[in-house]
Amino acid sequence: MLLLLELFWSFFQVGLFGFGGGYAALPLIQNQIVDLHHWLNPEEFSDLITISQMTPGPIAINSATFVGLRMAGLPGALIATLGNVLPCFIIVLGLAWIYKIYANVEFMKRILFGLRPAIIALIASAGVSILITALNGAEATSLNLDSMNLISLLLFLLSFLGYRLLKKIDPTWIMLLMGIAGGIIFYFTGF
Amino acid sequence: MNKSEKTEVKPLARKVRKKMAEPMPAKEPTAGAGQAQESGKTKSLLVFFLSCFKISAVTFGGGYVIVPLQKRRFADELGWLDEEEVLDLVALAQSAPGPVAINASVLMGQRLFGLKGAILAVLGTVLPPLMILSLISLFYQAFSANRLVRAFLKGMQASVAALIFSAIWDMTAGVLKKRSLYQLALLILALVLVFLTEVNIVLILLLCALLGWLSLFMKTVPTEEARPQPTTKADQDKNDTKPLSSCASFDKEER
Repeated sequence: MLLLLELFWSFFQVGLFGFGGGYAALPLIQNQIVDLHHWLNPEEFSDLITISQMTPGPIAINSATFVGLRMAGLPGALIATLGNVLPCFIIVLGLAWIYKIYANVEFMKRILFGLRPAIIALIASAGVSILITALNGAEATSLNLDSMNLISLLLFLLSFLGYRLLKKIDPTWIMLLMGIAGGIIFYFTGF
Repeated sequence: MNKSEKTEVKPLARKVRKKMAEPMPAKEPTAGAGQAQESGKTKSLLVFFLSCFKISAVTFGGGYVIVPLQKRRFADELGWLDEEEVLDLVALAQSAPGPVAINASVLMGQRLFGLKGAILAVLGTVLPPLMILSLISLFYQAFSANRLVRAFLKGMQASVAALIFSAIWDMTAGVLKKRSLYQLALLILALVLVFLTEVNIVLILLLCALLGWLSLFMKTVPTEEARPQPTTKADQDKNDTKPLSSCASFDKEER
């Protein structure tokens, strides 16, 4: 029961502070489920994002389902998702109401103007820790040049180039391609 | 607020609340909308729910990809909203926390069917990923230790990290394009706070939100490209009430 409440509250916070769309929820999710509650370890968190990229649904909902299911079965998944959706639901309708009366939500634009840089920094932080997990393993906390997995590094650089240069292609394909290539290499050379 | 204003505000709020709960009058479908138009509200609710469901089921990866699909379905095919409205709603959806996909469908649902529509929108949008990911999670529990699966997932790790950095690149480029020194300064501040201090995420967000809001009182900070400041009150009013759709963007700068 306590676990359900924690799930609800955690994902409620993710839903409440996840301004800016896209990956904005990522650092919040990582903070809650990896750092604070240790519901997933960094390796599993990485897997979660990978899965989320290949399936329908926003990262927040997918995380709620994944973590909720693992920690408390179907009720957990439902409660976590409900917690995530509730604040957005209320706030977005609230904003619509404000817009209807005042025909203007200038204050929101300004708030988002300020939030945008913060979101970038936070996503960068999450990105760095995911990179560390990819290059130095799940237990690492910082980049270590000596014990770095060079294949992963190569995959990282190639993928990055792929995303930047091949913008016309859906990034999921590039990710899959790299994943399969990497997977084959890792399967035979160990990891 | 003095007493008479207060009594005036209350009934207004109640009236507005009632207005929000009731749906907008159904629009005439645009000529040549393609499909045969459903008649009757109840049937339309079902169509709406199924539309949300289907759209949500085919948009992989999340992000803004869903928006053109929603526009195509509700504006072009069904003719229930016009394009201007969709843009307005998307802009509003981007202003709220949470995934754009959910916010946008909630707003459309509310606009079309009132509160019922909003709730059905959430259900329709959330159910597909909920179901699909539940299935995958079960597989994950069973197979995550399998060497082949692990190798594959390990291969993805670096690629996913690269994807996030690619998104960061795009977002940073977006900020630089705006040429706002204020926002740039906030970016540096945020980076320092995030990487060099232990300050709580939420505090950082609140601080930057506050600093962003404060820019309202500084006349030289643009939110979009720099434009000449209004010189008359009439101009100022015009600027304050311009349609939201001018700030909607279909940029795929984040996915």
